[in-house]
Amino acid sequence: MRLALQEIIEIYHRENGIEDYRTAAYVIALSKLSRTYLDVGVY
Amino acid sequence: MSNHTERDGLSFRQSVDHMVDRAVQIMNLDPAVANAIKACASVLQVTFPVEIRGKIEMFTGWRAVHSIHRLPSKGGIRFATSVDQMEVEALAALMTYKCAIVDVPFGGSKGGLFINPNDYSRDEMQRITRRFARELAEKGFLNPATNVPAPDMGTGQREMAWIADTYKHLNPGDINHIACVTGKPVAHGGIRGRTEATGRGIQYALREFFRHPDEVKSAGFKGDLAGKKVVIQGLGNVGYHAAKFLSEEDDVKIIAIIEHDGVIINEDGIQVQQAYFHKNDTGSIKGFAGTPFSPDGAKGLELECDILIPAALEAVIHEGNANNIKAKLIAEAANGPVTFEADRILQKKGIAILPDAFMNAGGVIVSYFEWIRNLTHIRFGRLERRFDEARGQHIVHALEAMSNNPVPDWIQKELVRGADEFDLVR
Repeated sequence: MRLALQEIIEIYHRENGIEDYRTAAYVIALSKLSRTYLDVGVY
Repeated sequence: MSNHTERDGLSFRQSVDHMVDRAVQIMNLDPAVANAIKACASVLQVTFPVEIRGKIEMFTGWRAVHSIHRLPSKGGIRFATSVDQMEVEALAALMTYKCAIVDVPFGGSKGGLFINPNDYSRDEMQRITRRFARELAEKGFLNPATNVPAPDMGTGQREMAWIADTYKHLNPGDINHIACVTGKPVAHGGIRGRTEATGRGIQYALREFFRHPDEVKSAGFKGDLAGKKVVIQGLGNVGYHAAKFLSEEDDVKIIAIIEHDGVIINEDGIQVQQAYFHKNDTGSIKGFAGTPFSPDGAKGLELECDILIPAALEAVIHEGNANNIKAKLIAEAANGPVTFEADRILQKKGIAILPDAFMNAGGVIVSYFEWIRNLTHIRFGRLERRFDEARGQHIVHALEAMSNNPVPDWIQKELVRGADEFDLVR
């Protein structure tokens, strides 16, 4: 929980256009999820 | 099929999709990849008969699998009359994002049975739950490798034990049968600390928030958690444990507790555990220790406070009341308590929100530990404990030999203690 919130706060401040913690959290989730699609491909 | 009352236009699933879309735009993510991520992989709807008091009753349930990029897909099963396919799909999507955010290697899933558990006896609930579990298992929606449910609204340890036992009888040759569901009683393959895990997660998240001075300041706070005024909605498993830990261990003041039939308010702080016992004894928070009660629970959300913790239903903060919210911070313990429209309004008002997909992840984190424990067939700490204790004792002897002084009792106690499962999980 601690590391996840640290990551959310970091992305919230680092990425332009993110106005809230929710969007930051979804950006983190989507970047991890999209990585699995882009790395492995669609089967 | 949908029985959801859409209070302000968007359904829960649309709300989640909109919030995800906002992130997609900012990231410049390929829309095709975004669509692949957002889509729900499969949904099962089952309708089955159970004989209740001499009559055949029909029950309908769902299990949605949102993602299978990691297996098993994970997520609770709820027993409620608010359940429908749309809700289950939205909740399954949230599970995918939640697991990704806290790095738990699971896909997202969610299940629900349309039922009011209060209408049935324990024995009837057992037959209904076992039959539902059988439907899920036979269709591949209950399996330790691919789809592992957990407790949610209207379900708990008892239901999980029935589900695990049903799966075991259907698949006695599956050596990992006990891992087909998490949130089981400790005596039946559960893990210590699972029941309170989501509430504990809320506490850890808020503690961590208050370790970041810039965030604390921009949310309009001063100092740490101690003395902060908190309003909590829902004294169920999550709300109760969050409020209990925060008030007992972080000196937070729980100034109001909102339940389905009203709100109790005490500016000096409510004794959470006593209120919980009162609710369990009488079925209501009303009449607790002379604390003023009002039947207008929704107004409780609008009380002047520091932190508002909605820990009950979806869409409780919506277009109609978002403008009246006076908290500085909303900690979403429930799934989807703030609608998309309300989220925009609160954002404009400068109210910070710690989102559901992160806030209530404590449950799935400890479910992950339980699943691992079940697969390894050994309790955490069982092998290492004696060794850790012996090593601690060596350190004590070494310190004494080198300093020619006895090690104080309290230091010795801490050093020679080997961690048990509860220490490791917490």
